[in-house]
Amino acid sequence: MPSRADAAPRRTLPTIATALQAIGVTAAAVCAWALATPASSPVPAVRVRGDSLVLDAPLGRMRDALATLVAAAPGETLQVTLDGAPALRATMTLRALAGAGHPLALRTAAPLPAIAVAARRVEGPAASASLVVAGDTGTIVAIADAAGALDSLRAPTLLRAASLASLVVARAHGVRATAPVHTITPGTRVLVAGRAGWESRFVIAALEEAGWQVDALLDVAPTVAVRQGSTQLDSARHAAVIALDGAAPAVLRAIPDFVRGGGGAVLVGSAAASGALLGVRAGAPGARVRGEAGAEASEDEPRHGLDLVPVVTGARAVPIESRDGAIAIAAARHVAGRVVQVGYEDSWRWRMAGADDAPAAHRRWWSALVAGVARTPPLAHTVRDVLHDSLDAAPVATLAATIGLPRVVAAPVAPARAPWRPEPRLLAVIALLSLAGAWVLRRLAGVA
Amino acid sequence: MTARAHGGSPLATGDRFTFATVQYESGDWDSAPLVAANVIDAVARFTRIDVAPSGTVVPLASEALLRHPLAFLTGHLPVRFTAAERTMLGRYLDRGGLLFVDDHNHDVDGPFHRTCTEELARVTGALRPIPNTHALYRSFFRFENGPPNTSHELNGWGDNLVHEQLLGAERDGRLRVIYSNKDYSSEWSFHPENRKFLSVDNVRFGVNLVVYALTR
Repeated sequence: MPSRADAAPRRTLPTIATALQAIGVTAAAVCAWALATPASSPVPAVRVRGDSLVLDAPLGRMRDALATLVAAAPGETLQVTLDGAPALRATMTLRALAGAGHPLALRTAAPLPAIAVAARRVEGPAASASLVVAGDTGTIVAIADAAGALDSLRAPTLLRAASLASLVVARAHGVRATAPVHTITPGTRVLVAGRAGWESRFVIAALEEAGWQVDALLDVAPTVAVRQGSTQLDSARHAAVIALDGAAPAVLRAIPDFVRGGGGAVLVGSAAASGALLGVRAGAPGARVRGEAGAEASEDEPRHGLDLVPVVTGARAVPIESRDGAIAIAAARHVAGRVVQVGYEDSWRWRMAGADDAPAAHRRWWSALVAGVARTPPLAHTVRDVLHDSLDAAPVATLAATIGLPRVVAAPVAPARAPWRPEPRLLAVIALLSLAGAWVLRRLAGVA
Repeated sequence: MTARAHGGSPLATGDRFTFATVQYESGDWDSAPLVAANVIDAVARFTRIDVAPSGTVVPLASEALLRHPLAFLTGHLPVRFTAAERTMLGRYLDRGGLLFVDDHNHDVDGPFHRTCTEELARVTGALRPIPNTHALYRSFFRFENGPPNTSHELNGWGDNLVHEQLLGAERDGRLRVIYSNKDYSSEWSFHPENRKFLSVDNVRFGVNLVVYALTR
């Protein structure tokens, strides 16, 4: 016969078994309810970092969160917090969500500086590279290319560099503007036309030394001209023409059509007075102004020593350089081509009598003038260009044009919280364990 | 570069060619004072090049040399440039100047020739023969056989003074120095009006020299 001490636990076993059975049944019922009731998830808030959309989602896995985002009820506003200007891919994703019927509420902790960047590299005799950053005046912008950091400058700015690697990046306060470096390869054959003189000698020398291929037609006598190469102005052959004066009328007459077709022309001094060039010149030549005696030998302003035929610019001309209030160089576009009109005469004096670097400076100056107008072949659309289409040279402008600018809100957005929801698998386990325990306890009680 | 017929417009002024004779410290730089007048006369007679009516004399060591991209140097006597002259000559040639040197002795290996070529070689490196097919001989008049001979070379005495080629120094395909043993200094020193009695007026080669300098 069992003692009273042994009988007491056995009396409690049925009670415990009953409790476990109740728990098990309840858990099973809740599990069945959870399985039968669809989840109602909140729309998660979105945080954008560069090209990544980070969902402040309580749903565990990003895939579920994205699915939730996409499947959210149309009309439900998505809260989007921007850490900076989104990259193009992220902007386009947001645009797609907005297009799917979800209004976007963009916000950011600080204003986004609207910067834009562009870069180009000119190959050939006048090889150069330059980068332009536009933006609110004074914005400090860090500039880099694919090879590394270049400089920090205040926008807007123009940076000239010896070379630029394939891609440029400008950064300012969370905004990252990227652009490909466009390579321009102008034609390199030039026709020089004018009378035989020191200017013709030294212009040809400067251009040839810089790497240009020079054809020349130089008037010497009433029926004699010195010719070098092909002297018929030809769009298929020449990238640019230089008219040194009013001589060589056949060339002057061909210049308007040549420029209309995309060629470039440099009109020097009195050449612009030619009636053949009235339609393409940047302006009328003014009265000749004598250069400052000896100034061509100065390092700072050597062209002050040259005689100047000022350019009285027309409405469509752009002044490039001036001297004492008179326009010395002006440019104009004429249909597909460009014209630059140079008022300086006898630039050879600068090269001969200038400072130590005058020959090189004179060479660079002439080469740049010609490169500025020389015909450029159309840019080939390469695979690399297509890849570069994913770059955004002006991300804030893109954002404004695509979605709209964010509201500046100092406080961060609290992530959306989902209501509590039981986990069916856990409940199923609890139900099974509880019912199994109840059965075991009843067996023990019955045996006793 | 070749010269061919072409109908052009009147030449403008402002970039005027002035014949410059080089004055140097040693020797007799002024041994041929009429050369300038003869060359100017020929250039004005045959071309539309805007040429100053009289020549000028430029000291070799002077910055004024840089205002005359073509300069003429002649003499009979031995030549020794001063350091300043040598420096300025190097600067002048480096910037694109062209120096035409003529040995007024019309001999072979004379004192002017030996000393002047030595001085020039110190600035430009050794002088080399200019091919007789060079553009210099076609820049205006055609000299199919190279530099025209002078009456001093063809004096009939059988002393074999004919120099077949001129000498020169080039950089990047451009002549910087042209050196002549042919004594054009004597031939180009006739009074311009008397040249009409010459069977061959070789001052025409002076026109070629000027046109070449202005176009190359």
